[in-house]
Amino acid sequence: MTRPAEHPGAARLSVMVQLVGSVCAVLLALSLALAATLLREGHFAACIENSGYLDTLHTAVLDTCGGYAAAAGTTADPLADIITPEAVRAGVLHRADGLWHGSTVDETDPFNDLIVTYQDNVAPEPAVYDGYRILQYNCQMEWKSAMATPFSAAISMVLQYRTVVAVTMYLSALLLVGCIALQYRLAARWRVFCRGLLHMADACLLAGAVLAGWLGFGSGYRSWTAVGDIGYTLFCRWFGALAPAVLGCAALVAAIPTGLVFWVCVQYHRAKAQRPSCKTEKPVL
Amino acid sequence: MKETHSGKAVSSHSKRKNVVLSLVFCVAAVCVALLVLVGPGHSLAGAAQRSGVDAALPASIDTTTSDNTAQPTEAPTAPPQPAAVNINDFGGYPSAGDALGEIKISGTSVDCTLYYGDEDAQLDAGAGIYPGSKIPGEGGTILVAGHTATFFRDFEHAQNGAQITVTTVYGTYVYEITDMQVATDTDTSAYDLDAAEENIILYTCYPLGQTALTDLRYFIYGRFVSGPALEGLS
Repeated sequence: MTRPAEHPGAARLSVMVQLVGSVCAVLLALSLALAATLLREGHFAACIENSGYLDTLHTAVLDTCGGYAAAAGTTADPLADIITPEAVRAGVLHRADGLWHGSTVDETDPFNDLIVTYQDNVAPEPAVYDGYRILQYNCQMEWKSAMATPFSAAISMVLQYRTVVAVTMYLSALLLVGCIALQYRLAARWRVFCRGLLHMADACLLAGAVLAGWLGFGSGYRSWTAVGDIGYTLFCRWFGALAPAVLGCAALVAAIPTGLVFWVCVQYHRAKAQRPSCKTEKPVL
Repeated sequence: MKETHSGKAVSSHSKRKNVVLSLVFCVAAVCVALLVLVGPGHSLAGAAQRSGVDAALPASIDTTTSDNTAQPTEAPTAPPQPAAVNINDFGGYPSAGDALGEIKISGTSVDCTLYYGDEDAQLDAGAGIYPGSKIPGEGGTILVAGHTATFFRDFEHAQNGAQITVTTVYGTYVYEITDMQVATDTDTSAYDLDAAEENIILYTCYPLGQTALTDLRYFIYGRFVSGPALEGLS
C-alpha cells in the first residue's frame, strides 16, 4: 500500500482543510434536512392528515354552512353530502399545493351544483325567493376562507429559500469531496489521512446533535403559535420534524468519511495479509 | 522504560489533540450554522405568529333569531360603531413603525399586522402603509404594501366583491374589492394619492410569490364600505 506524498507545511493546511470540511458537512446535513422536511410538500401534507386539522375544519365548515342554511330558511341536510371530509381534504391540499407550485384554477369548490341539488331534493324555489343563490354565495365565500393554508405566511417565508438551500446542498457536497481529496494529498501518512477524516465525521455528528437539540428545545418554536389555535398541533408537527432530520442527516453525512476510513483499514489489513512475514519489515500505516 | 513512558505521554497527548480538534471543528460548524439559521428563524417566528388560521376558520353566525319565513340574509357585516372618533383619544396620529391594527382579505389567507410606514422593518413583520398616503378613517387613498413571498402571497385568491377588513384600535373599516391590475412600479397612474373619497389600494410584487427583483406590481383596489371618520387631525 503506497503512502500519500509529503508536502512541506502540509500539517497546518490539513487542519484548515478539516475545518472547512467539517463546516461543509454540517451545511450539507442542514440542507438535506430542510429539503426533506420543511421544503417538502409531502411532509406538510402528511402533517395535515395526521394532526386532526382536517376533521376540525370539516366540522367547523359544516356547522357554519348549516347556520347559513337555517338563516336562508331551509334545511342543512343536503350540505352533509356536499361538504364531505374528502372534499375538505382535497380543498386544503389543493390550496397548499398552490404555495409550492403556484396557483391554479380552484376546482375544489363543491357548491357549484348546490342550487340544483336543493331544487331537486328539498323544494323548488318560488319566483321571488333568492335563498338558494345567497346560500350558495355564503357557502362559497366560507369555503374559500376555510381552505386557506394554515400558517401560509410562514410556509411562504420558508419556501423562498428553496433555491438557496438547493445551491448550498450541491456546493457543500462538492466542497466536502474536495476537502477529502485535499486531505488525501496533504496527509503524509495513511494514519494522518484517516485521522483527518474522523475529525470531520466527529465534528459533523457532534454539531448535528447540538443543532438538533437547539432546534428541538432551544428555538422555542412551540410558542410561535397560540396553543389554542387549531393549527398549533399541525405547526408543531411540521416544524418539529426538522430537529430529528438534522440529526439523521448529520449521521448520514458523517458516515461518508467514516466509511472511507473503514475502507482504508480494510485495504490495510488485506495488504498486511498478503505481505510475506518478516520480523524486520513492518507495514507502515 | 523512559521510552515507554514518553511513548505513552505522546499517545495521550495525541488523543487529547484529536478530541480538542474535533471539538473546535464542531464549535466552528455550529457557529456557522447558527449564523445561517438565526435570521430566517426570526422571520419564520414572526410569520408563524400570523398563522392565518383565523382566516381559515369560518366565522360563526347567530342563528338563534333567524326566522324560517324571513328573507335570507347575506354574510355578516361589521359591528355598529360611532360615526366619528377622535384620533387623539387613541394616542394621536401614528408614527413610522407603529402597529396600526390588522388587515384581512375575505376568501384568502391574507391576515397580518398593519403598520404605519413601509420600510423593511415593517414589511418584514406584516403590511405597511405608505406614509405619503392616508390612514383608515382619514379620507383619501390608503396605499398598503406587502411582500409577495410572505404576507401578501395569497393575493391570487382575492376576487372582486371580497371584503378587505382593517381592524384598528379606533375602529373597524371595511372595503370592497372593485378591481385588480398589474402595472409597472413606475406607473403612477396605477394609484391616485389625491383622491377625495376614502379608498384602499394594496400592492405587492408580481409575479406573486416571486423572491427575485421585479419591476411589476399587482394592485388590488377597494372602495370604502363602512368605518368611523377620524377627527382631531391637525
